[in-house]
Amino acid sequence: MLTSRFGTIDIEEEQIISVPYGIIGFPVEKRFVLLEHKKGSPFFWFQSVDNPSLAFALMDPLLFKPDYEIEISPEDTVALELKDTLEGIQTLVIINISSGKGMEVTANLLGPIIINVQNRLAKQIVLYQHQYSHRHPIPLLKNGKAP
Amino acid sequence: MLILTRRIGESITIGDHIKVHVIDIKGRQVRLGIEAPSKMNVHRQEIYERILEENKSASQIELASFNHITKEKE
Repeated sequence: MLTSRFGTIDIEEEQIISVPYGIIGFPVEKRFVLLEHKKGSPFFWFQSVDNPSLAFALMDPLLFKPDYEIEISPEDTVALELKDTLEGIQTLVIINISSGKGMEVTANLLGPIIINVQNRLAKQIVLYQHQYSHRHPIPLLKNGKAP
Repeated sequence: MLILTRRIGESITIGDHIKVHVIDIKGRQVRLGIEAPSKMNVHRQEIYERILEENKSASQIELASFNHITKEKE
């Protein structure tokens, strides 16, 4: 598989995560793979299988916000084919680098990506019930490790 | 744009599967109840757009700047 950031990478069919609704703003791309940024790195890349240049940097929000809470709506529970509660799901948030005054690393806590690990289904959900920011600053990272 | 006047307790129907109910009106705020198939994503416009813009921006990150900011060496 060809990617613009990582060159050519080998992926197995069973690595592919299906995102039936697409990522918000990207309705066309519906198949992604989760790549480790580097061994031992807290970051992942959510790389589109069908669009070589589309990838999002992801991170486990609990690494920098231990009290992060998600609530999955009944509609999203159906969409993700979740049996009950939050078992077997992986929650990751999209990382961005804002290039305002000084570079700042932020995480979108408002719209996390939920992956049903069992059936490899994912969806970007919106957490309306919490006052989470879509640009939550992450304290400066050292050696790629969360503080 | 179609503009309709509705009272509390009244509804509008969009197509065969979507209903919007006016639940309550308090001052300048309206509470709406939306019935739609679970396949339809219903979002508050400004929050949806916030996430959309942020996604578009985040999708532009280059590997080099990401490595730089996370203090990792290539």
